[in-house]
Amino acid sequence: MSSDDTRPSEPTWQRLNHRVIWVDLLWSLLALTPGAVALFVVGAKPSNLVPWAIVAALGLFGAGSDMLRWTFTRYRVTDQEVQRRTGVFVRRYRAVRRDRIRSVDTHARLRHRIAGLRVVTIGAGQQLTTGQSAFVLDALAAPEATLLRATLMGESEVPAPRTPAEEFPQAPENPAAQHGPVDGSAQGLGEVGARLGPENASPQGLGEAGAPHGPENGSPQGPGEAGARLGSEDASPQGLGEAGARLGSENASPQGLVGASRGPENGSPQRLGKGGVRVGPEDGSAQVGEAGVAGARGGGGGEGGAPRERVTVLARLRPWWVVYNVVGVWAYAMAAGLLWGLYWFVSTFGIDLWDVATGLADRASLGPVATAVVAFVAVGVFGAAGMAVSFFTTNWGLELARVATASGSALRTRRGLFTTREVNRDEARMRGILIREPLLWRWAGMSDTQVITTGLQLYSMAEPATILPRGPVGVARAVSAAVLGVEPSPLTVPLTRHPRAALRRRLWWATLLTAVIAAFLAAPVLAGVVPPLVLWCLLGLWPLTLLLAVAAYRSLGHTVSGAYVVARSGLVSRSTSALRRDAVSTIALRESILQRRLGLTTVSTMTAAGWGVYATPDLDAHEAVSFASTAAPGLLDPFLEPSTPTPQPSTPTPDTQAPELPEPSPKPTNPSPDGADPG
Amino acid sequence: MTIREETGKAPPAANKEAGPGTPDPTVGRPASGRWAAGPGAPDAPVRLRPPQNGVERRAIVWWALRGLTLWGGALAALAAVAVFWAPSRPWLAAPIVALAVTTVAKSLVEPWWRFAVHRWEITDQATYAVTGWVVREWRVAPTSRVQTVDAVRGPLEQLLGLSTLRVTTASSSGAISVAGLDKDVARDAAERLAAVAEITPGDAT
Repeated sequence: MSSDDTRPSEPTWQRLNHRVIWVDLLWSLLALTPGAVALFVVGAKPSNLVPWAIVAALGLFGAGSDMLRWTFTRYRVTDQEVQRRTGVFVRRYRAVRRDRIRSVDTHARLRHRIAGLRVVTIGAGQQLTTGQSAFVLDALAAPEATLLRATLMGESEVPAPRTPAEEFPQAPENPAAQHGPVDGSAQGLGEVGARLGPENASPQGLGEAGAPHGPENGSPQGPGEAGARLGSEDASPQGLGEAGARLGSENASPQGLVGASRGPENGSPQRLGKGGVRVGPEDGSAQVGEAGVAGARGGGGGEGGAPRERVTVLARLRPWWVVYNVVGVWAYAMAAGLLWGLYWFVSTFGIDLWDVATGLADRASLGPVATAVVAFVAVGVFGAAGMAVSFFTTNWGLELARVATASGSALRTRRGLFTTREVNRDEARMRGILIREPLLWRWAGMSDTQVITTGLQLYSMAEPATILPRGPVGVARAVSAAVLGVEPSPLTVPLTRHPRAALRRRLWWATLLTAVIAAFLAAPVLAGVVPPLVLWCLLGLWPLTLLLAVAAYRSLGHTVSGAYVVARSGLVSRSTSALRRDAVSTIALRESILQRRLGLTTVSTMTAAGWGVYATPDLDAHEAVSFASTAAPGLLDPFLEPSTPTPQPSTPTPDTQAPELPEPSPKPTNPSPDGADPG
Repeated sequence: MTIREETGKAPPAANKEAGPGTPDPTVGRPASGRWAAGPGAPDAPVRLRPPQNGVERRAIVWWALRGLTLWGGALAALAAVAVFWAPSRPWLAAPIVALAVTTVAKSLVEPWWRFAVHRWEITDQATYAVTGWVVREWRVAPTSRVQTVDAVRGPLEQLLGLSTLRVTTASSSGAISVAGLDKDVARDAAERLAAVAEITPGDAT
């Protein structure tokens, strides 16, 4: 199953990894377990078993269809394309041209990781607009996935040069190699615990599978970055040690996890012992140490041998960021979901959660108001706890790093406790950065950070464009500066304020909004359908909208900083975008009647990346054109009014359109066709 | 970016590009007047000049018909509800008045206003259009970023021999639509622009 078969001109079709089948069998068993336990062990009434029956049915169906999918799926990588055939009843053939591939990302849910599998998602950018389903290979063995990614992303030197020359000399030092014997034995066993083995030790698998694989599994990430990580890991709190180690080397990763979750009974200690690494007999901590050692050695080896994969860690999870991620109304949504699930769960055991809660309330007898407050707070805290758990499982061990690739560099994010995700964003496709600060939490510095880049799905649950979890704006700005890598960071430069007229426009709109609602309610009030009290409420609404108008005005700002055009606006969520000027495709200037009266113009810079349009609302109309002209260097020049001296407004970045401007100059006065053709 | 450097080579090959080219009855229309002025007061250091070409006079009919069918239809539907379902009347009073005003504006005011505002121009380097009425918009898209060029004709447009030129870039919202062109003018412009854009290498992002 080695992807090296793909080297010849007519490569053979390959199956997905056979371990998918085993995972599905295990999955079916797991799906049946709770129902069986409830029925035979707890002795629940069959009428209460409906949820479990549904769970079992869904699990069996999912596993069964997954097996069918495995049976009918083939893929291959030719010189030109990646091809996949799949489908049981409807056969689907899908080919993606290799030069169109923009991202190859891997992720693994817990069951994939237990089996040493990785799901590979190949992105060619089209999904962004057409809503096409992604090109997914679910699943390959971890080393195959890494090799595939390296092949497709042109990181040929990652697997290839390492393989023969640099990596093998290090092999003895690499703990992966030390696992070798373990792995061999474990694979034969086929028992669950044993099957866990190979996956942590996936490099060993490589060892046997063939020379080329060995290095690329553990090492690409392993050496350089694991070492780098260790340095700062000491500074970071407890959890990171483990998580960092897990990330550090793919091979070591599952060990940390397995050790932590399965505990000592699983046999991981002796596996490690056999592996030749001295480890205490206990579980997680020992393995962390071990993994850390692995990273350290790998790092040492990597630096000594080939510093080809240069990894600069830009950010790492700080556990206290969790406070930013548990507040807000979503905590209540989360609480609602959790309580609903809990309600059904305990009801299968004959407990009515509602009765329990009302019973508690009766016993406490706080009075209606206090009870409501207590319930509100309790539900909020419950939801926040759920959010915290969700935050940590998603972002555990988060690491944002810049990785050198064949074509340049990529921004890589790795995160996840059970489901691990790795997202690589080609920096050649990066066009800027966007920081969002929600209005209600701006005092606390809450912010979200996204990169503006082409070819990433914005509406994906994986949020590939989000490079940092919700956290303090100081960190967001610092990391953004590091990502952009330009000296005065566009996100910290002082912005030009907008004219007072922009405030007046917002005040007008606030008033107008209130007035329109009042107008629509006037007739019903007169007819007596709606109580007049509503109109008084509207009167209370008016000052509030005025206040929001001021807030919206205060968030306005713009400037041009080096190669970036910076725009800040937004009421509910103030967003500051820094967009590369050479990425601006379309420029639009808008003026409504009100704006025209107030002397304002909205300039929108449109680009292929990110949300597509980044607007700078309500500039002074006098400077709008020169700002727009600076934002898209050279684009507007042919259309600028000739009567005024044109002060070559573009201070273009060297590689932008500047060269093509001089030649066209179909000066507006000259409508002759040939005027546009100098050569 | 390499895309940019390459585009520098593109224009020479596009000799035949002749701006809007084909005779257009409205070309001679002076580009001055209230609605033609670019954003920014006259004393601004720079401002956008209006594009060279206006749109067909027939477009006025098209806009009027469009406003009537769309908004007049909605008005009729709402009025029908108010007539046949008495309890809804207090709620529908304001919407009906608003819709009536909108219909009048869309079918009587908007067409003329748009006709005065709408202008367009295509050069080797860029597509430039001014559109809108209450909200006016100046849009410029570089030819090097153009991905598709379409001449779209809806049923009403076919009736009037009109066509809408739609130029899209890789940006999801960066499209430029020039409505109310003669169908031959639009087709020629689309073909020329496609010819220029096609020879531009890179994937235009």
